[in-house]
Amino acid sequence: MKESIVLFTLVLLIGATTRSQNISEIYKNEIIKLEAESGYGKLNNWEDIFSTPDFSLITHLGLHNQIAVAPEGSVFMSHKYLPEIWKFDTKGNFVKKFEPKNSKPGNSPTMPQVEGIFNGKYFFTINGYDGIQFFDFDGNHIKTLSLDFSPANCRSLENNKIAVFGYIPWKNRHSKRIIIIKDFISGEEIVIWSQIVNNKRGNMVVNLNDGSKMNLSIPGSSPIPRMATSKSGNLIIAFPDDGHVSVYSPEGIEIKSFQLKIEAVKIAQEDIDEYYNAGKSNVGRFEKRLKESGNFSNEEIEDMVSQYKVQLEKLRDKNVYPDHLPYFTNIIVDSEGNLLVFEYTERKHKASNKFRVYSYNLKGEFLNSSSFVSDEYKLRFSSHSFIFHNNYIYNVAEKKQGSGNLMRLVKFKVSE
Amino acid sequence: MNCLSNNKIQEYIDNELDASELSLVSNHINSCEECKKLHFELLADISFVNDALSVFKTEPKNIPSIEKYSDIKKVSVFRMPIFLKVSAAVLFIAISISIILAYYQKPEIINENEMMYYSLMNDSDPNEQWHDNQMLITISNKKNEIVFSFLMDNND
Repeated sequence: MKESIVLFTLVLLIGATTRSQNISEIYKNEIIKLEAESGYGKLNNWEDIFSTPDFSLITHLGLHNQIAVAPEGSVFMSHKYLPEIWKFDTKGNFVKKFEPKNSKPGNSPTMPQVEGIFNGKYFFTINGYDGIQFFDFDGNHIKTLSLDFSPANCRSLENNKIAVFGYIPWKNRHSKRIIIIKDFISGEEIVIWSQIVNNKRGNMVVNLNDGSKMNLSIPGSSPIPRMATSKSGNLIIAFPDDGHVSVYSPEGIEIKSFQLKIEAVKIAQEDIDEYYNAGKSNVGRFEKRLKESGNFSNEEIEDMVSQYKVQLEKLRDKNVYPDHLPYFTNIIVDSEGNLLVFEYTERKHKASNKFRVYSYNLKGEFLNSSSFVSDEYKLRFSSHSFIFHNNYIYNVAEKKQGSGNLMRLVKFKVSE
Repeated sequence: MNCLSNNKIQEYIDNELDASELSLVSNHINSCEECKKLHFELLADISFVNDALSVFKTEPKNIPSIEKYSDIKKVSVFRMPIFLKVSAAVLFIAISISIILAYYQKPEIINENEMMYYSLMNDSDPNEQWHDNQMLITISNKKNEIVFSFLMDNND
């Protein structure tokens, strides 16, 4: 009997060890195939869950269904258009929904965003001006940490600390980008990075006849720094502008820094032409959406569409764009603590849905280069919707084939 | 003529009287015992003071005589009427304000809502935005409040 117990324990240990090595080993493959776990969320009516609301009623934007995965595997998801948080159980089935405080439409220009898990027992959200709200896994509000600026995203750190990136309005259409580390218990905070940026960079601002303004975004301009939490609970900040990475302790002390060896994708004339043509083909849809909003008179819509067309012509000028795209798009830390740096890819890779992934350990050492692919789903590589958890990947992804709303919460197994 | 005051006799000693008064005072001192006595006393005081000061061995200074008020030439001064002064002050302030307004540009404060909208473009997958040619259009009113937003891409 004792021999059986020892043997069983050994098998478990070997099994666990083998499994924990899987992710690092798997990056040696040029392509990493993700296979959706069958039966995950099988009780859900995905059409209802991801139903698209009437756009004419929507005045607020939300992020693309951000998620956080609790230690036991339940998932919390923020809605793209509604001020709601949804809870899914460990099998991916919808459990319930609830609204964070002050999250009614009109209270904030954005929807509440699920940002992560704190101390293994709370999940937390941000929503415009309402600071950081913490909830237990039943959705009960625990605490709100107030902020004197607008948060854009947060990361949970060790030692009861939380890192926050946000914006402060500045004069002459500038804004101050800021990263702080805040103490959950005392509320004390320290600023570890800040930068004043011109918001005209990255946007075309047009004065309309009635005194209002129209903004058009320009791709690849003015990217924000990306944050992630290392396995040991430190803060990783990566700067897409120059490919620099810094690691900070929860107390805000810079521990190490290194430079990513990534070559930025140049913006070619063909890219500019494609962007211009896409904008041109959308004139009708822009006008239709303006009418649907019900906010503008016919004269105002005429002025807006006319100005849009004028700005489109300016988008043909190469000088409007930066020389190259930022060095990377996002960073994500996997279950083993490797830092994955997602690159921009050339447009020719679009059809295959292949995204190259660079893996680094926290010494800044380059390990390999790879790609995640899924036959069944169009993957979304955002740090809040592509989550590693116990060697699985949770993703809010879109089915490649089918009809109706194809968005799904998917749990992927990683295989070679 | 009544007896002279101390001040008048002192002015006589200091040669500060005009010609007509000098003659009258001189005649009176010579004819009045009281005033003559006072004159001597004042001269004695001056002598005493000079003796006392002589220890400093200072060279005598030639102090210019005081010009009489009647000898000062009157200069005609143009006094501006008060309403002109007030008008000039108002005009100066108005010009100053006009210059300040002409060259001062009111700082344009970006709205927090607007910044959050910009962050939306950054927080989704930028590679997807790049491939889908996504463009975020926002319209803000005079109060800088976002009243319309539209994320256009190839897929909608």
